[in-house]
Amino acid sequence: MNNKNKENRKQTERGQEITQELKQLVVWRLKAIPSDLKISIGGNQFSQKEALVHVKNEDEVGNEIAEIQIQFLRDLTSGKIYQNE
Amino acid sequence: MEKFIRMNKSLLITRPNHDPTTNYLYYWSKIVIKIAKEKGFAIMDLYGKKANKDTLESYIRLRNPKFLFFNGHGSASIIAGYDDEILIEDSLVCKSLLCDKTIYSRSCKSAAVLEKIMVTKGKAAAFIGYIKNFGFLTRNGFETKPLEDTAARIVLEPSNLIPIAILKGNTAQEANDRSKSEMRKILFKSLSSEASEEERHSAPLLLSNISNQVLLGNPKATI
Repeated sequence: MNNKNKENRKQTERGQEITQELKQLVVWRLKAIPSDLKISIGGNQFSQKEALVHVKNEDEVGNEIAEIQIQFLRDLTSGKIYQNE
Repeated sequence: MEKFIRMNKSLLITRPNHDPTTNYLYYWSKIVIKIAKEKGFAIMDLYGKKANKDTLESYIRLRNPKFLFFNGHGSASIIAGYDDEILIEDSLVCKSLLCDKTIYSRSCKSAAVLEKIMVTKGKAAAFIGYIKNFGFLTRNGFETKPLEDTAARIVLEPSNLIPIAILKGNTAQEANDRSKSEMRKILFKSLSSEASEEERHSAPLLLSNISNQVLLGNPKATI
């Protein structure tokens, strides 16, 4: 892996790899959430704008929100989402 | 003579309401309380400031409820009550207060570590909880009427199926399966063209809650 790719990939606390491309996808998805909806997670509520700031800052909450969105996209594209446990 | 305390048909529920998130759980738990009443359960309702450690321990010691339903914040090692006071942690588990209890914890991450401790060390009969953060959407303007918030309903209604199924005499496994099945049904609808805006945006949180909801202990445990 060259240096550029290394810079482009970051791991969250739980080891999920978030590339800049995936992060951009998450940002687009969050921007689509209406401004009067709030995300309640980890004991706090976040507006769409607040969630975007956390994701861009790559803090703990932001990474968690990003992971949830990315897992959803991965399961959706792989078809896993339609499988029962 | 040593006092014998019989496990009775009773529910102990904690529902603090010190911030917007706990306030939603506070209201949505009322539905479970109503059903428990209809089923003839004695209810120990630790609402608001009553959701504290002293009251919890006192109720468990004196009345020995078989089913504990926690609402509130949590982490990998604690379940919290009002103002995030620690209600359940390792020290409480050591006192065997949770012996033979069926427990559902609608709080973040409490299943990650605590669940294993509670079932193996605390000898709880069964524990249903979440490995990671529990999430749901809310819509502005419903802070004082969370039960009318259709965005929150998408996640909170199926999560209520866990305690409701247990109150109706189902096993822990059946309760866990029933709520997951309902969440999947809503998730599939959220992927269809019939989905509402709230359902579409709730889908990632629903999937996360489904993936992170776990049952430990005896799957055949009933109350």
